[in-house]
Amino acid sequence: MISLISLVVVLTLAIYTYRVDRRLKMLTNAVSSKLIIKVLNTLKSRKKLRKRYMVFEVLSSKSVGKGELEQEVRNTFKKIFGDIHLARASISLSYYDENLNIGVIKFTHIYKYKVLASLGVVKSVGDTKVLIIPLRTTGSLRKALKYIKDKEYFIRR
Amino acid sequence: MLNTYVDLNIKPYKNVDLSNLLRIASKLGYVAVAIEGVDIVSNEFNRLKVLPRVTYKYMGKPITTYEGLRGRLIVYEINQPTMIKALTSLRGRCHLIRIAKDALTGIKKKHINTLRSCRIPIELSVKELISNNSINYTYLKNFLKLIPYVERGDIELVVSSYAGDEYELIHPIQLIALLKELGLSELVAIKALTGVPMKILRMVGSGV
Repeated sequence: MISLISLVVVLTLAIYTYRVDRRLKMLTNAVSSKLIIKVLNTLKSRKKLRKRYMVFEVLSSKSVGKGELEQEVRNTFKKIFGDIHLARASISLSYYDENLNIGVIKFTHIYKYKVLASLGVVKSVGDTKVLIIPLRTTGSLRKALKYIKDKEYFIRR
Repeated sequence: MLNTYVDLNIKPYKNVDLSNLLRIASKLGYVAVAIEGVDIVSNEFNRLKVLPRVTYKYMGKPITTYEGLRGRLIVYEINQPTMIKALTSLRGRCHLIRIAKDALTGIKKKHINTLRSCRIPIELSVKELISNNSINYTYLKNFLKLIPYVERGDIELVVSSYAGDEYELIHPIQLIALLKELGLSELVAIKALTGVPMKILRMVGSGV
């Protein structure tokens, strides 16, 4: 009698476990198909935005100030790509040597081509005609300044 | 392959120092340029090949005589969209067709089809695209109409600077980036500055 009862209990438990397990599997599948993709997409979009530093040279008929140049580059970028991209690109002029006419512009790495395009479109700063020549893109300001230092040494020699 | 950037349209202003213009072009990384309106003394300047260029206004039929044009880049300029017709008569008679600003502004699909069928590379200039530190909207709007055909390979595109002085030149990398942002693929953008112009220069026979 006892063995029969225990057999029934075991069978019931087994069926219950199987059903629960099946439900759990279904739930996990559902989660994996929808939520995990969502989470992955969010993670992708949250990928770290790295900074880039572009060394450039300015050819101009008169000397150009740092503030004017930065403003002009920002205005051009804004005219072409709009406010949202300007904010995301976070463009700023990290360094500018008015004697050598060499500077470093900082921006977010995904906007490299947009920054290059907008630097090409800048043809005047105020009344002064300018030509901006990109020289090198680096990952740190230190490397960019080192490149300028080497170039300066080369120019002075 | 090394960078072989070519600028097929430089038209210096009257009081511009040509040697300085060519020095800057060489500094920017161009290997060859075609210059119009100036007597060229030497075919090479600081390892930069210099080629004379002649532009004719297309009035419905090609010119009859080609005397004294050997070794020159022959270009027909179209000033109005209505002139984009019977372009097949130009095949073998010119190296390039330049679409001026006014012609591009009123371009329609039938004109694009004519350009497709004539199989001559077309030239567009950056100077007309960029105005006042911005991009000219009307020019851009019609330029974008051509992009799918260029991308598909139906039309061969050459992009030149049309610079009058050294400040109107553009760095080839900046130009590629600009074309890329306008919707061309990187490969086609590079081809518009290297492959197609080099092919034209070989046709001219400048030894580039």
